[in-house]
Amino acid sequence: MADNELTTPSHVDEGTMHAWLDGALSLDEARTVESHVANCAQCSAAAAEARGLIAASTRILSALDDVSANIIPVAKDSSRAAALAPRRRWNARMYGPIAAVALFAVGATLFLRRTPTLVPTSAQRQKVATVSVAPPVAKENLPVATAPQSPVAAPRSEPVAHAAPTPLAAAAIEERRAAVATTTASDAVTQKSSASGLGFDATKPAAAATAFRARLADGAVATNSVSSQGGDSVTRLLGDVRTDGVQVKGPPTMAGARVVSTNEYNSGDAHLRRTVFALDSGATVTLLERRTLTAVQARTAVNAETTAPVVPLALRAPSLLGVQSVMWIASDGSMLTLSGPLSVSELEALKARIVP
Amino acid sequence: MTDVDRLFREYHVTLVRYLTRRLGDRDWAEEVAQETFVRALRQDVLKNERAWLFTVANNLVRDDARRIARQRQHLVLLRDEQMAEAESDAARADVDDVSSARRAHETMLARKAVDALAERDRMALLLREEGLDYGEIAAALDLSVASVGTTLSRARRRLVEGYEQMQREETERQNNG
Repeated sequence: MADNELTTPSHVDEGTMHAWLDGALSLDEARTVESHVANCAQCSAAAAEARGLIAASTRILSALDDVSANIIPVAKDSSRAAALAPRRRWNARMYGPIAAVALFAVGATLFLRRTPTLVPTSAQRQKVATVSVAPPVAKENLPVATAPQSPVAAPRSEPVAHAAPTPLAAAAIEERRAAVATTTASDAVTQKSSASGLGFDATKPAAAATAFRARLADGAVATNSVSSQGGDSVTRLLGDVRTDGVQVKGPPTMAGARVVSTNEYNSGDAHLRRTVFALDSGATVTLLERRTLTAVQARTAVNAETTAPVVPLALRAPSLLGVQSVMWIASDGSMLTLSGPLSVSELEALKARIVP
Repeated sequence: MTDVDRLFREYHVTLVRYLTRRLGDRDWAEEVAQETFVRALRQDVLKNERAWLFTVANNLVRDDARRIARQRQHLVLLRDEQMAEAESDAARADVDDVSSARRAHETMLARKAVDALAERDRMALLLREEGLDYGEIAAALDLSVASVGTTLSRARRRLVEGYEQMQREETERQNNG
């Protein structure tokens, strides 16, 4: 630490103190600081204060992880939506653990179905997708209503024992367990019937959630389709969002999941598409696709000021805690990232169910 | 070619967290993270890969910020409105909602305190939180290694004092009104 005078027995300056506590000093420097702090009341107090600042900083910064994505209001005039909305707001925090357990069941089942070859051939992958796509799964059923087809599927009643949750996911469950304990049976019924498994965090942008939920109940928001209702405000907000000269096929689908929102735009030399899927278990996963634009396409895009039809945006998991991602490169060279509050193996299983 | 799969597994979570904390916008954070790995894909060799990834992400944010600052600003304002709305909603609701309102409130205070830091202090602190050592922080921010301790100590003190100051002001307001 050239900046910091350590050769004299003077007090330890604050920068050196932090470097010491961060383990960034050389062995010799650390020894010097250590012996000084041990014998100097003033520096000993300063060290204690620095420790406190380090811990407090970490705590404050971790609060920043509690951020939901896609929190753009659908429409400010939510009076109608409010009238339609259930009186008790659905709370993702309370519903979370149920969702998590259900998902582990999904994950376990899917995983087991694929066990003979952990890396499925494209033919197998195709088969999985086709099998599950065919009938739209009833809302009350778990996504894997097809489970009985699998001879090795774990019994539904004890899914957790077979699926080892990741430490992070387990932590997330733990964190929410207390909240669940307070949920009454009637609440659970209300939640189930009103939310039908959509993965909102209703606790944050309440208006957007209620508005969107009401629209959903209304049938205004169909799966892949675009609704013009409330479109003005969205368009106004997202002046930079547009579809343009890029030939991209319609939004991808995922067997057993619904497309809640899809959103396309150009960024630099890339065309991005973000699709949010709601699993029946209540969680949402996000697929981010990136295609490199040709120079011509990029230029066209800049000139094409057409506004994109933007489907109202869904609300996602309330925290980064437990969110994992998988990334892969498609045959056309586009890069895809699938993220959600699931384990990596569960995301891999979902990935196989995506039909581009 | 660089082993991007491995890079992704090792660094994606930490990169997204860093960017989310820095930008307060998870969608944006995920986009920048993805673009960072696209850039990594184009590299033959990566020396000091962690510092490289965070440096590239920082550059992408800087370029992005110039282009879309206005739109993002607009969204940030709306987000604050939403938070305030959620809070006031919860204030007259039940216990569960109160606790989530408190969390939302803490997030908002933290956001303000972090945004009040100088850019370099903020970045140094967030990089450190992701486990980068002093050498990597120096490389990513173009600082001398010797000044990282000073930068971090200043950042931490200002963050904590700013946060506590806002808490005090709030308590006073509540007591007065």
